[in-house]
Amino acid sequence: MTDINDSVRRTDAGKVAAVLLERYYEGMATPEEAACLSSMARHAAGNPDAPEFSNELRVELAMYLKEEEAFAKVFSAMRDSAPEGLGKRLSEHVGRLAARSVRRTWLRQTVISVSVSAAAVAALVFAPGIGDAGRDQASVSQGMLAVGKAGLEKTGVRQFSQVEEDTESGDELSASAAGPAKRKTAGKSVRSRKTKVATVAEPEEFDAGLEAPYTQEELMQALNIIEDSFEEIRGGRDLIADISYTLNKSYSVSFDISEVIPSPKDIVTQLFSGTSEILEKVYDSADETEAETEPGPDSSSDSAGEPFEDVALPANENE
Amino acid sequence: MDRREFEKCLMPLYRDLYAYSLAVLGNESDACDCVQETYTKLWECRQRLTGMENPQAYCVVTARRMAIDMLRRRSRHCSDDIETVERNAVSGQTPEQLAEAHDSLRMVSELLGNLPERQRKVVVMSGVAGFDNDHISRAMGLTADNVRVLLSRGRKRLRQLFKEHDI
Repeated sequence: MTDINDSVRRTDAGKVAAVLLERYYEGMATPEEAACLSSMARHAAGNPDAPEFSNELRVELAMYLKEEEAFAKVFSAMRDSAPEGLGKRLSEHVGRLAARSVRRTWLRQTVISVSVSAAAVAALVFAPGIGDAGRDQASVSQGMLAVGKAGLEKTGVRQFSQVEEDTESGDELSASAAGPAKRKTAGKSVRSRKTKVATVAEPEEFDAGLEAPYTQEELMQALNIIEDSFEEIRGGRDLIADISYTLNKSYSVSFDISEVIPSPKDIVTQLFSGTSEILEKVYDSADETEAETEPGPDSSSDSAGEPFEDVALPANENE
Repeated sequence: MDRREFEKCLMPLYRDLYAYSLAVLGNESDACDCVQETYTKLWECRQRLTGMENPQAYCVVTARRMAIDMLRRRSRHCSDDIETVERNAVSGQTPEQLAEAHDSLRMVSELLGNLPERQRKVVVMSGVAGFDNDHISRAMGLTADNVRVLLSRGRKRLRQLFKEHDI
């Protein structure tokens, strides 16, 4: 039984080899079929007594094997015929590619580093100004409110009960008036501070029958706060706006401060030599803006809110 | 994959890639350019080669495709492939081996040279470079039937020549 199966299998192997050989010479054999045919041809060449291959098939398989060996020789010759300098040339080429990729990586990292640095610088320049705007506005406003409160209490015209309700304590107000106040109010939101200021410092309140509401000492105290805040905030652009806001208006004063003040350096330089000039510029600009924009709901009088206009600011210059 | 690893892994293959390229392009300088372009391509995708089990096979396939693209781009004929092989024939062997190999190679090249040009190109690309019919048809711009007919005629003719010269 086993001999019969082997005979059938051998006969099938011969048939398969014949079919593959025919497909090969018809140009239809795939590389896999060619590989199978090569294996059969080697088997037939190595086993001359194998009964599965007829003599005629053996000759054809031997011829196929010779062709394959010839092609292998050609390929080997082609392989060995590579120019001597090709390896060195390719190695140099790969080196250039590697160097180029390194340069690209370096350039990419440099660009990213510069971009990140620029972004960081921009954040350092602009973000504190934005963040401090509300804080300083509140601190200066509170300081000025303390001064104004003291002055108004002297005259007995205004009550600042709402201020006391909104602020955390009266001691904090006095403390903020005595020194840098922004540290003490750092935890508060900008909106709440603005609300408090707007609630308290209504222009007409300052204008209500007060010809000389503040003493020179109180004004000096207020100017000290301004100077301290100027020192704390480099540039002082936002602070100038805050000063105008605090001294004159209870609503937002929007104007381009850059048109009024040349540069932060000039502001600091002029702070101790010509503070009054800067403030006058701010006042003028604020007046122009106020004339252009719609006034606040409670500021019906345009003349309201110039409490320090007639005060002898040159006293600060004398310092 | 850095440069050292790349060169260590793939640079020894350049002779094989050159042979495949030469079998397709049939021109020494074109084959060198093809190999160089192949290494450029391999360098660009070197990260992909890192996790491969058999990057050498990928390199051979890439070289074949590059050679086919170059052949189609330049539309040149492999007219001097056998002459180039014969001129540059094997090195690093004894004079006897060299002479024997040279004679055998010269005989094969003469037989291949007896084939018509298109038949020879198709037979070399199939037998030497191991291209299948689809690759050959793409490389030469022929239909699959044309390739099959050229291949059939070339192989039959070569077999007849082998029998005549009793090789």
